[in-house]
Amino acid sequence: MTRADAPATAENPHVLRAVFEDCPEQVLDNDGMAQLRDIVIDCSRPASLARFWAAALDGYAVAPYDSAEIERLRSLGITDLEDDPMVVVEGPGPRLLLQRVPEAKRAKNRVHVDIAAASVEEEVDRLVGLGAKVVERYESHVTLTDPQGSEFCVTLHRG
Amino acid sequence: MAVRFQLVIDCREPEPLARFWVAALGYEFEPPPEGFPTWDDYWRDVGVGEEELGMGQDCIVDPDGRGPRIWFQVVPELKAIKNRLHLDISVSGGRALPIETRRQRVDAEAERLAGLGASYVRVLSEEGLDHYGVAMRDPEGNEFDIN
Repeated sequence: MTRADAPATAENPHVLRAVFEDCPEQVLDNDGMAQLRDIVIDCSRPASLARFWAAALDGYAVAPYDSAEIERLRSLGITDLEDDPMVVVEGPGPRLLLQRVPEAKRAKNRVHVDIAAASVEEEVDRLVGLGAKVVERYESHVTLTDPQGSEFCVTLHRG
Repeated sequence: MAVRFQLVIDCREPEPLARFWVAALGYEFEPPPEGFPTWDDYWRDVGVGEEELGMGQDCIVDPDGRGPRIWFQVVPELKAIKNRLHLDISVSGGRALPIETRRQRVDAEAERLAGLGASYVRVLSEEGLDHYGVAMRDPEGNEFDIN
């Protein structure tokens, strides 16, 4: 089995290697102080969803692949970066880890992201252009789903 | 640059869950806007109905300003299946440190959070793998990992 076939979920001890070795190491000696480091999002196609979230969040970008990383993936049988089972999106806050899981989304998430925008309408239009879908419009916020069905909101940025 | 997003976690009782996450992430309760002794005073002032008040503190923030604000939103439904979005807490210090040091840090943090109402799911490790983590659930069942 190649890593591309591995059901990459942190819940499954058999694929720990695929998940954690696929996550570029960050030097982070925080002396044992707890820190929110990653927000992990399960999905079916990490590479494309990573591009969406990188574009959606201010200051975030898909973590670049250097030649060592590309070579490492190739050694695991992954020749197309679109097949990377764990894609990192990094920015000013915690990283987003988009990880491929075998199961489809079945229910509303109980954790979601709210994006704050100075103009809700303009931000919603921009995100729809990137592949999001509007679920419902409210007075001060709009609920949407990302291109792979996870709910999020755009809310008015105050101040 | 501060992040321009917040996380929203559905729950039944915001304040106990918020208190748990304050302890887990090194966050603090978001202070009410200036001039208001409590958030309820503020919400009342902006016209929110009494039926939505009295839930206690439901927003927490990172005192360092790096992490996103987290809002614990009351919803009527219970958690039914595994979340497709979860938080990873980092305490190990990273792979430059010996695995044994990391394991001790992760275990100590898991024990501390278990004392605050979290439950163990499993150890995330295997023979020959240079990683040690613990998967847990918060007091309302939301999955998270300590690495």
